[in-house]
Amino acid sequence: MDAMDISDILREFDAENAPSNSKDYEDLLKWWVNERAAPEILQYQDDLVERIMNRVRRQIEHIEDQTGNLDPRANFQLIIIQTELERVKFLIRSYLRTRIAKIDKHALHILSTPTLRHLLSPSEQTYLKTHQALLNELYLSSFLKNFPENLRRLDDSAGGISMVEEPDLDSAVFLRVVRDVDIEIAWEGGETVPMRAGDVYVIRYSAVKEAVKKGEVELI
Amino acid sequence: MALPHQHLTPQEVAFICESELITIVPRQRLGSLNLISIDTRPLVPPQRADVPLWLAVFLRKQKRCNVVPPDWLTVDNLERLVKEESDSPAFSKMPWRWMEVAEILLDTCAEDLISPSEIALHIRSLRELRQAKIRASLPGEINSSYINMNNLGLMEVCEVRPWVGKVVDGLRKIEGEAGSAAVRKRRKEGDDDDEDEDMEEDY
Amino acid sequence: MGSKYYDIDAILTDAQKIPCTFEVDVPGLGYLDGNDNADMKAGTKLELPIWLAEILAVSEQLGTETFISTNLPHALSAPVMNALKANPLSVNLRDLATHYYALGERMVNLVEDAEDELVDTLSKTFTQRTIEIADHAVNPKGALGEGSEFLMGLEESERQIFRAAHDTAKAMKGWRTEKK
Repeated sequence: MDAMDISDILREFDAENAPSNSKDYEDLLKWWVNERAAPEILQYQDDLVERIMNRVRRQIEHIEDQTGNLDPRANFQLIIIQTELERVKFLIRSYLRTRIAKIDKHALHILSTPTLRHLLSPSEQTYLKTHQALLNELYLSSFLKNFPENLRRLDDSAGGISMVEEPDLDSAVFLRVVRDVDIEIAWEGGETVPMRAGDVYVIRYSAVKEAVKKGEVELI
Repeated sequence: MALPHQHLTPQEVAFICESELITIVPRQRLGSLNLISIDTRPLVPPQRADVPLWLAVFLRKQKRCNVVPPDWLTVDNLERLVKEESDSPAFSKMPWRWMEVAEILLDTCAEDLISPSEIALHIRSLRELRQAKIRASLPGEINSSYINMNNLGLMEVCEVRPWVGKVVDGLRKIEGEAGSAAVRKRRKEGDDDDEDEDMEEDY
Repeated sequence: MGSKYYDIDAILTDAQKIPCTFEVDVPGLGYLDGNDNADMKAGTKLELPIWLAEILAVSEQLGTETFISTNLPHALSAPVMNALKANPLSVNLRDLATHYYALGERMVNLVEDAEDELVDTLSKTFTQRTIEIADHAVNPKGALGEGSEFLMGLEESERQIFRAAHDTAKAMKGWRTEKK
């Protein structure tokens, strides 16, 4: 076996082990930032969060097993593991809270739009429905019941203004291009902006919505 | 934790940066670790190894490793960049996370850098030069359609994002559909005439 | 487009008054002009809030006529536009209207001869002023320093931009010092 082969084997070994965990973590970082920057709610990263949560659970078990181990070396490793666990927990918590904030803000809009509802995880859907039911009950008992029946709706659009709050999909977003992509912009008569990997742009979200979902650009 | 509907805070931008790999020279052995985000190899001095920046900082604080600074973070290179930055009206090509990396490394392992105080000085010059450029170029760049911000680092983008985003949104609302056509026309005319001449006609 | 139902700035914009002229006699509406129980005479000039003017300007009576015609408010008049063209930073927009640009946006849709030039001037004004505003927010010159008069004259969306720029600059400073 010559040297080439050994390094090839080592590289394969690497590919099997390290990157998949790293890839998941990088993806979570990416979707967290995307979610923070996008005006609308994005697809819940179901499998990704599940895989990472499994690792979080295993890590917590590992820490519990090792607590009480008096070997200073094991103890030091445990501190590192715990530090990282806290970092991952922060990330997941902030990701979920960002989504909850959007669900709260555009609750009625999401509830009444099936394509948006399907972007939520099952627990987010439950949260949305129960939370809205509770709010409705509260509004009704505290003031709506004193209104004439035809003025009690919370989703009226009389007078040309809808009561249902929707995200402004044309609001400006900042992005970094991951893969070369041509973005067509409707408001400039269909002009195309050639975006090249590494470029940074400010543009209306509606123009790059699909590119975000395909991973061609990352919001920042 | 920042309120989740807000833009990324500088701390969060730094958090993202801490997930990047950096090369270290371990001073002590450390077994491999099965972390959630990465499986690290055993650290054996003096073999170099790549670890996430947060771990490098952690080990460095306990004097268990030395950090190998990235190639660009040297006095010579920064001197060149400062010169380039002040000679050219364009933004020099800096690493995407240059500000975060420089701040974190200067802060946690200055002793691993060669002449850290000079490096800090150059980083500050770069930052001031680029901030002045951003300020000078924005009046001509801001519009309601799209803006190219190539070669700005993530932290630099995040520093102007909240208000620039509001200005772009505000312009879109002022200009509306009809307005954006008017502005486009003006932009086209601006290619032929000088912008100043254009202004004079208006008086 | 985001919804404006619960948007306080949109509600306050709606309450800003604009000059209107009644095109027809309206029985019993005299109270708007302070004449209780009287009729509103055609030709009466009156300032009405945007929300009301909008409804009256677009409702057609007898097919062709509208109840009122609307005119540009002083804030968007030619002298103000000329002052803005000469030096956008010298005008106190807040005194003219608290939601100045939003008022402009609404008037462009309401008054026919407004259109292009008005939009152009507003957009140039907004760009030049906001960049100056961000500059002040990031490099504060003190309450009595140079430019404090300009900052007093910011209208609402400009104040929000000042706040956004100021908060980011503060957060940056906070991050850089907390590590030390």
